[in-house]
Amino acid sequence: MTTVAQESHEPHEHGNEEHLAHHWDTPKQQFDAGKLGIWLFLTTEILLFSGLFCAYSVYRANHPEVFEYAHLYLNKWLGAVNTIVLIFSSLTMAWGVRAAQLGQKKLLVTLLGITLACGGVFMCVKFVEYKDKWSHGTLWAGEYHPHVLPGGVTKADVFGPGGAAAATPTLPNAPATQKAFDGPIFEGSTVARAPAGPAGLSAAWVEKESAREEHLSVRDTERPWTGPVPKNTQIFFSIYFLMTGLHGLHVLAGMAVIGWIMLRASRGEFGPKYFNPVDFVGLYWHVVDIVWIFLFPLLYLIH
Amino acid sequence: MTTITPDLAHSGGVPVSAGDNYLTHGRGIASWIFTLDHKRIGVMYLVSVLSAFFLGGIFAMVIRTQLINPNGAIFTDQAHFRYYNEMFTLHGAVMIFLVLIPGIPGALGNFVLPIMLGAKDVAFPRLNLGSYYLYVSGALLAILAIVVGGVETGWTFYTPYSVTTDVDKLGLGKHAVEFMVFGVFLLGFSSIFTGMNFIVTMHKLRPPGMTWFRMPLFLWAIYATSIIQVLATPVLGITLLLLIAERTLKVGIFNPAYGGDPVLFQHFFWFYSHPAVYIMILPAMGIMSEVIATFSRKHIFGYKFIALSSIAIAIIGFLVWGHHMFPNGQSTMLATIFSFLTMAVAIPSAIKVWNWLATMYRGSIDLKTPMCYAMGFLFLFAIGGLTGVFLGTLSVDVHLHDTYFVVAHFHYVMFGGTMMGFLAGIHYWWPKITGKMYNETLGRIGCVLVFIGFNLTFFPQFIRARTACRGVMPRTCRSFIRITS
Amino acid sequence: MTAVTTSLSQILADGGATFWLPRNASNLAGNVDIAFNLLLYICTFFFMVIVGAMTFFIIKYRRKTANDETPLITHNTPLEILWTGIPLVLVVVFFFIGFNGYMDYDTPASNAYVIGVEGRQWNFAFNYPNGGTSSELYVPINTPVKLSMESKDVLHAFYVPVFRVQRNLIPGRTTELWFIATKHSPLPNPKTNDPGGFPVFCTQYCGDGHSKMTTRIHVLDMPEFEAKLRELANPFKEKDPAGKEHWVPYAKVGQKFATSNGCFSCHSTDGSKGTGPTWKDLYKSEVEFDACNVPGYTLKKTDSDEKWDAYLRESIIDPPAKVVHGFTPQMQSFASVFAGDPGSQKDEKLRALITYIKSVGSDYKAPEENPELYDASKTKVHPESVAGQEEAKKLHPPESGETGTTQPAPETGK
Repeated sequence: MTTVAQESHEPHEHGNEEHLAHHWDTPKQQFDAGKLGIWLFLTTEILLFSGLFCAYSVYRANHPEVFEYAHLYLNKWLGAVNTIVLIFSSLTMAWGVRAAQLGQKKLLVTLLGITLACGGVFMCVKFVEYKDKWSHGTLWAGEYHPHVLPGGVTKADVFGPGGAAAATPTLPNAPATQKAFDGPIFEGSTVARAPAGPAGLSAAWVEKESAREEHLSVRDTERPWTGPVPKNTQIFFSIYFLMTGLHGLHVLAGMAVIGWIMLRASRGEFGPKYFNPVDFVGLYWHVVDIVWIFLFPLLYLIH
Repeated sequence: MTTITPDLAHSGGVPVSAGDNYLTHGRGIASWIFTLDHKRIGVMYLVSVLSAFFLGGIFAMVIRTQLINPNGAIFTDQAHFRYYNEMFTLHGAVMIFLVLIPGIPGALGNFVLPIMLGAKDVAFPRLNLGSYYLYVSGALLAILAIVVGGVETGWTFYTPYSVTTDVDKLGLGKHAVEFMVFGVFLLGFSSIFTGMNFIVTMHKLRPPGMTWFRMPLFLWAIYATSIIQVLATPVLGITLLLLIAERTLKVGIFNPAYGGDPVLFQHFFWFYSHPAVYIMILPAMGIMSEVIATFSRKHIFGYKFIALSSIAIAIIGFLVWGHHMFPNGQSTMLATIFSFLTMAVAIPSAIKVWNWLATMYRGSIDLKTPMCYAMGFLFLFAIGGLTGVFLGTLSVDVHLHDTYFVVAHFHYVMFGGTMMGFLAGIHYWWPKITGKMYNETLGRIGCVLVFIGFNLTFFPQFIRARTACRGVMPRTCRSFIRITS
Repeated sequence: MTAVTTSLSQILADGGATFWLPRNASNLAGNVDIAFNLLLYICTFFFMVIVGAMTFFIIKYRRKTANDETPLITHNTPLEILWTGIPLVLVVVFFFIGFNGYMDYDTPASNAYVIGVEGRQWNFAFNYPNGGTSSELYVPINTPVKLSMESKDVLHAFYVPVFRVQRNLIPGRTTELWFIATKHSPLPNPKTNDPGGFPVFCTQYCGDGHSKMTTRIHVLDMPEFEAKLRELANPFKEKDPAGKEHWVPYAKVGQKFATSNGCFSCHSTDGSKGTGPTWKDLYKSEVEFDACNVPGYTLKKTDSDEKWDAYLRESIIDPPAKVVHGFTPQMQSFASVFAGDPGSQKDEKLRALITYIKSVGSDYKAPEENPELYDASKTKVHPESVAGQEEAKKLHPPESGETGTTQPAPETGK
């Protein structure tokens, strides 16, 4: 049994079709295969995100109040800016594919550059948002110690100058390692937390938490949220960080591949005969965009 | 030893001398580790998968040795039971993720798929190599996990136990579970890329005249497998990423201590892991269709029925994951639907078995080694498949769930099915791969030993649920009513 | 073969069991057994057909010459429809039989007697409506019983083979399991070390002690069950054979709590190393800590009783606060069982448990069995309780022998 020589991977076999790999008959066949491949890959990407969308649906269906309350912490204007930036970058990307097909090298490089810049702007805005969360202590469940209420209200505004410590006396039976205020509010389960976590959780702790809720509910009607603070708000932030974090990683990966095809474009590698990578990266970028278009209303615009 | 004549049909039109083949063409390590040739990648997969099989086998030996004595033959007190727990976790994880899932598609699929199809290579040779190295990285991470701490979460990584448990053997921090989980994540992507590659190859690289219904049945099986790999594995990917985030950041999605839901993890996990058993068994069924037709010297009976039943299994297989959660308190409606769909999977499997039998009818049956393995497959898979009907029946499952009965059923399907099929395939294509013929007598002896040994090990487990429950064998009991589903 | 002979001998020993199934002792078991046996017969038949056809073909159509000719048969649609149709009808039948049994299993009787089940690594605790707790389950015969189950840490399962029922215990959720026990369970036999009852297993892998996570179900007649409930609800009181009530010493009560809360699945009392430190001679020993919430905290032989009591108390309520050298913080908090204001029942339970832990030490002085003091019909409160000690102080002012107590105050010698 004999086989194709490995050297046949070299492009010269096909004469002037310099980008045609040895096992394809025509450039069209190669392009179609690549297109099918990238679509399959994008399917897996959507399915990867679908796990998080599924978790979102489950928790939102079970605890709509958590989402209605916690989304008030997010700045919808920053989210809107990011949405516009990404939609615009999709336009420049699509235009870039067109430019590649027409062999307009300079235009292609410019458009890719704009797309890349849009990705950068998106990530910067995201950074500002994350930093805000960091400073307010509204991180994922394990690091959820909010110092402020939605709309920038501080604890001192609610409890008076003494802060939370004055308002919530320490619990007589609370385990010593528990913090009186800063922990997340838990519901139902009396499962002890992981040993590395802040504390075990006793029934007494849960009862005290309901007292704290009443405290927080006595507030101005001007504030965005007037009902009691729902339990388990930390889950919203876990989902928020997981979804936007995974999306952010995809934006970074997209920026890296756009940078790579920009380099290749500036070398003049793309033209009417060969523009496959630009097309495929474009498709990927649109999917990243579409995921954000779902994330924005699901996380920022809850009513 | 018979020398196989050069197969010029696959020389790609390049004139070659008789002694020149894919094994001799390039020499040296570099010509292997950077190869883009699907045949060499297939051989590398074969070697790696068989090594992993050996490793998983060692873990299995430790488990069985421990259970010789009712009080434990190796680990005798609770302080050491965690090593036993590590053994069955690793046995499960290695056999599932490193052997059964990549085994037939990675090794035999890679080797014969383009040849059977008449293509020069798979669609994306570089991705193919990348997929192999993802496999290797995943395997190395799993070994790293064993070295730094050992993993004893069970191969299902059920939360919240998997979130809290860990040990630190080397003082590098308690990260063994993260390593293992990330390793499985990489293995998942290796599997996805292989699947993508095969789908595109079969869609775009079929030569003129090779229509869908002229493809060999092995390719239909691989096609069905690839669909599952591409559509189910990403969900495992995100589940494992969430588990890593759960352990490192404490995001609480699956951890009730933070308001999360451990049952959600089970749904995510089984949404992949149930279809995954079809990733494991379908290619073996494909091999069966080839081997039985060849050694019966007959046209395969009911070609279209076999081909479409593979696709039917792939599709229905996506909708049955909930049967792993019957005693979990999921809603009655869900349990009912999942039970019915589980039953439905039995139909295409039965169609295949009948068609294989009909192929043998009036044939000229030659019990060469691959055919011996194929007959072993029929015998064992019949038991494995029929006991699956017991477990799909709601009320009976409530009694048998998570007992040795399930362990036995699973091994009858996975070893009796997949591994027998794999062994049949290795023997069947051995001359094609190596250019040499194996020793027929030794091959048959091996097959008989595997068949007898397997039955002696696993058949008693069907009745262990009945005997060990007397409470007279506490230590053996512990392992028998264990995890898995 | 050994396994087969073993199982055969066990069948002989266990009336009512079959080769495949254990004996049948609940209202739900009948459904399962009918379905199982039907499946067994039909599946065995099909297995015989498959393997029989295979064997017959191998022999009948074996290759005779190297150039055997075979007919070209590609397919036969009626045959395909036949062998698709027959299994289809059969699985629909199986499905309905299974569904039928499952609906019974999934629909508790509305008048069921509810017993709470808590699963922990690695034991079950049962809470009865009258406040009694136990580590083995007692249920009345021929009465619907509903278990309302929750897990305190990881996933567990509650599986009773003879009842053919199984349900998972899930942290953060309550799951339910119901049954009517229809047969008496075997009685305990101390001579043969037979614990009696029907076995219960955890079938969801839950850690090192998973194999030990078993318990027994005792099926009793209603009067016996009620007597047992009274006994369980009042661990501090006991009736002697003459029917006279008396107080049980705290060390003995504490042992009951240690059993019912599964302390022994991690802590031994014979010095052997378990998942947690042994209790043997723990009290007033030298303890080193790997992790401690109070900087510079030490605990020595010579430390006061109060300090030792406070340490034990904290270790039960908030286990990760101080982690003994060589152990990992695996224990979950028992605050929901033991944390209460001084004098409350929960607090007294905790004091009893601590007294028991002390009693496993070598220099524990048991309180005198003063029949007067321990006569429950005369003293309203337990002599070792906080209230009892207050009373004792009033009765016998200063240093007069408060022998009935092991509480720190009187033991001044240390």
